[in-house]
Amino acid sequence: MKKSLKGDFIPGLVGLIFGLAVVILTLTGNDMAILIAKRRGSVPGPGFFPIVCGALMILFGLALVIRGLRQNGTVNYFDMTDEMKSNAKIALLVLSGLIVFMILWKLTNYFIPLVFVFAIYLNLLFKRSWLFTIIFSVVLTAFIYFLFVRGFSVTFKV
Amino acid sequence: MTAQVWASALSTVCQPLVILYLIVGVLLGICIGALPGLSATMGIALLTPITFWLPKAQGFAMMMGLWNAAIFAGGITAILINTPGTPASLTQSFDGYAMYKQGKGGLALGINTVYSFIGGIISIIMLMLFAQPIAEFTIKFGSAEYFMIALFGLSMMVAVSGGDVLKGLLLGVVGIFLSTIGIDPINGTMRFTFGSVDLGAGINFIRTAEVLHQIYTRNKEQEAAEHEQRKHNLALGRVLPPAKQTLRLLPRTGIVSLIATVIGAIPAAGGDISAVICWGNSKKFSKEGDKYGHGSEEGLAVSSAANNGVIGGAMITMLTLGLPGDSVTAILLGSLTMYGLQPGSKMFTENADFTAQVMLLMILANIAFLIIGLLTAKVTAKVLNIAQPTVWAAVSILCIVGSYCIGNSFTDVIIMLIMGVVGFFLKVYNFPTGPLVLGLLLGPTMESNMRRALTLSRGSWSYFLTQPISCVILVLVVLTFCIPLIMDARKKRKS
Repeated sequence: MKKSLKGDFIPGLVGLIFGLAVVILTLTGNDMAILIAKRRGSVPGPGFFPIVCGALMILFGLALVIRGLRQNGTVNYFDMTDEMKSNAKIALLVLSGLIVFMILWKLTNYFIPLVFVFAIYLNLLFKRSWLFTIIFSVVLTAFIYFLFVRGFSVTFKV
Repeated sequence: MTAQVWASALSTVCQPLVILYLIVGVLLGICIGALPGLSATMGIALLTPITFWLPKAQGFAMMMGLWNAAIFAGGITAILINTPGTPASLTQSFDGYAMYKQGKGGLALGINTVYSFIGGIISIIMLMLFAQPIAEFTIKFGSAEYFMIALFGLSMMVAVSGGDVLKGLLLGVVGIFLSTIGIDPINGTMRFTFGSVDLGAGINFIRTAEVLHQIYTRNKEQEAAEHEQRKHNLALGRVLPPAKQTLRLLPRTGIVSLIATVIGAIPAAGGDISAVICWGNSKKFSKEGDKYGHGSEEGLAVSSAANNGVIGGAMITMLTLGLPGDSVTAILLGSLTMYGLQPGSKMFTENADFTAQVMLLMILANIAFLIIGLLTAKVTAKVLNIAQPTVWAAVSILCIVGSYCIGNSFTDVIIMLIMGVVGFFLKVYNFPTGPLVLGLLLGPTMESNMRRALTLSRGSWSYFLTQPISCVILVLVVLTFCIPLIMDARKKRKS
């Protein structure tokens, strides 16, 4: 990675682009008037706050970009150790698990059985013992079932 | 209210069944408050239909128990796993979690319990003594004043930026922008929803990012050492704050509780706003302000007193004016009506007996969570001093449950996931997430009231200066910015 891209340059650029997108969406959106003319003077419309926020995001994003360039590679947020590299894989697997859980939930509506399976998956991912995994998954699933489904009548149907 | 009314109310609330329901409510409140993603509002909303089957004293005992305990319990997970159980506990995670990491988890839980109790009791005393004048004062608040209150809250953005003000400001503005997603509060226009009806209700934020980031930065050796250290410290550490310290902090937390009561009495201003305003200002004016956010016992005490101090204030506007002080009292108003009671000034004349019962129930709920909180603090700290992966697994699943229960919406779960990924990168890039939450919480109050005020004044910005209360709050905002700067300059000159 280039030296200048290591520090605050990228987050600043993301902030700047996000701000620009907000400004463009506000200016081109339907019914997103920034100011609404009244008989005497004008009052802020639905687009007023978003446009102010967008402009400020551009300003602060730009300041971060400049700071990132000035850091000239002295700050690196992705200086990963070997352990962090393997941790990143686990984090990615947790995220993938969450996505699969949500897809299956949407398709089947079997929320409680899925909670049980997901709890097992997470514990195996974190290399917990089988006995702990089973006890933890049963206790957590039972807790959610009795408190939310039975106690508070939440249906978890999507 | 006469002594006879109080005596009759006391005899009712001391009945075994009422006490039993109160304790059930407190225990439920502790569970709900401590679970990330579940709030006191949600707990009361879920409990209300159940209480209709009970006599009103028992039903309200359960609800008062749940409400008071849930606000206090939000601090438990903020302290032990750096995940606020309720939005009002955000500032407790700044100092509480740092204390826990320093091996003072038991003491942090003790401070949370004791000062939540102090905040709660002071606000109830205010409710008993000054309900009418406070209600008359807060009813004068219009949109200009609400806007200024929100601005006052947002002025704390710098304080919660953790040293990197530029990144804090950028995220704060992003938070305010995210709060504009959904239905426009004045014109009803759909903004940035891209055709999604679910997005119309806006965005809720739960900290899944914390889990992903903790997995990513995990250092097994250090984790094992810290785990052992905490176990050792927890076994030796005290829970009850020292008497000397309690006495020293009493004036500050007393003032904070009074301010929190007034903030609570302002309709729609809740524990989240109160905690941020009180913590931020206390940091600015305290001698040990530098320690705030890094494990300050004073900072934690102030936050704890501030979020429970709101409850009495919210009840003032509900009981005297029939207006909801916050989202919980909005649901409680419905409950009162279902029991055939008319909230308003008649609550202190025709229904004085029941009003006295509610106040006494609130005191009992505070005593109950004080006892339960102190007795179980060490056990709770030990239970939650479990291996990090267990916490991650539980929080990942509870975040799904919590985000779904907020609005019974699958879209909220998807947003939770997206925010989790975005939040992960923000943490990697060392962004302070406090300002984002602050912007999300205060953005709607600020926007709707600013626009309403300008509509009323036909676009005249001087309206904010011509309204006396609004002008006073604006002066306070300016002073809270300037005084610390002047104090710093004087210190530098002296040194």
